[in-house]
Amino acid sequence: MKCETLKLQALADDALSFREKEDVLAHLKECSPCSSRYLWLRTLADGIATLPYNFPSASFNAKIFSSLGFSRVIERSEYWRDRIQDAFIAAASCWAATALSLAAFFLRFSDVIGLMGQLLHPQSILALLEGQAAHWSRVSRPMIKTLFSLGDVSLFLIRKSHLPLQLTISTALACAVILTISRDESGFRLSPE
Amino acid sequence: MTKSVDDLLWIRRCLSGDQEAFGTLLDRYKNQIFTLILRIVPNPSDAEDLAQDAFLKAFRKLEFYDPAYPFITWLFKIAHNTALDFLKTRSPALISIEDDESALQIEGAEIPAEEKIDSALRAEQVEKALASLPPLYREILILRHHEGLDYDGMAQVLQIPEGTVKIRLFRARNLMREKLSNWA
Repeated sequence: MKCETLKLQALADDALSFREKEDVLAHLKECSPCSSRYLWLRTLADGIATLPYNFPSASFNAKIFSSLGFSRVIERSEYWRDRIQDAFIAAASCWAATALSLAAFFLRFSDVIGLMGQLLHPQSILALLEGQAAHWSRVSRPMIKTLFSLGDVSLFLIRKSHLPLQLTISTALACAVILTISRDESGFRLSPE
Repeated sequence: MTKSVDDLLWIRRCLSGDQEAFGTLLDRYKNQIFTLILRIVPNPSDAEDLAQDAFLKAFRKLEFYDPAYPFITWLFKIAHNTALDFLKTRSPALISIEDDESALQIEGAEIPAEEKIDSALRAEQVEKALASLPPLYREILILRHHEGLDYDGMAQVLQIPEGTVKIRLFRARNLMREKLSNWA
């Protein structure tokens, strides 16, 4: 089988034509040494493929940017990327907590199942939104006053804080609005009246 | 959007003076380039310097990149040349390997009937065996199995004919088999 040694390698590298592949595979069924060698080639390929990547040091990019003379631009972009990342994490956490609270407070298990069923149909979503809009329009006057007071306090806090905190407060305010206007005597409704 | 098309967009932005576009390409490929160079030049500090050097060359020659080939292949080629230039000055003996076909038939003539095969090689076994190989054999095994380059891609990176790629790969695998069976 010495003439097939490179063909075995080509088979392992998926570099044979269909015809050649068929021939070599047929040979493998009859030839134990070639079959062993082929298996070994596959094992080696898998062994190397699963090796992890190596990572350069944290200052890798900075040195290159410095050599190219545009470190300031990158530093600024990294600063904003970090700030935006912080803000998103804060906002996402707040929204997730609110969603969970809403679900736990207003919904029963059967409601959750019903909501999931409705979300599968776009028309149901539209009907749900329409129903909620009508529901929100009935918000009472004292609740609106409370919201305005809450808004004044929040606006003051927002002006005095950094971006992540600003977004967190804004999100908390939005959550408070939703919680307030979603509640009435009958609680949160899943379907329009 | 495929990665190669996406690369082209970033490269165009980079060529039009958008410095952050180069940062994106750098983040996307630095681990692959560093890993390849570290296989050729095992000292991490040297490998990092060489990887940075390779990216600087890539940035300065970006206008000469031929979009007919994947961007990573072009980067690998620059990394290969950079690492080889380094080895030529430090230890030229390390990069002298034989790629001639004459001894191939003799090596290939003897396939043992019963070859000890592990169903899966442990990572540390592979690392140890790779580390004992000459740099150019380590490199070709990484290009083939870790980076998944085909014969044409490897020929582009190493700037050798496809036939030579096959022979070098064959020898590298044989050496790996020898090392691994000796330790088994």
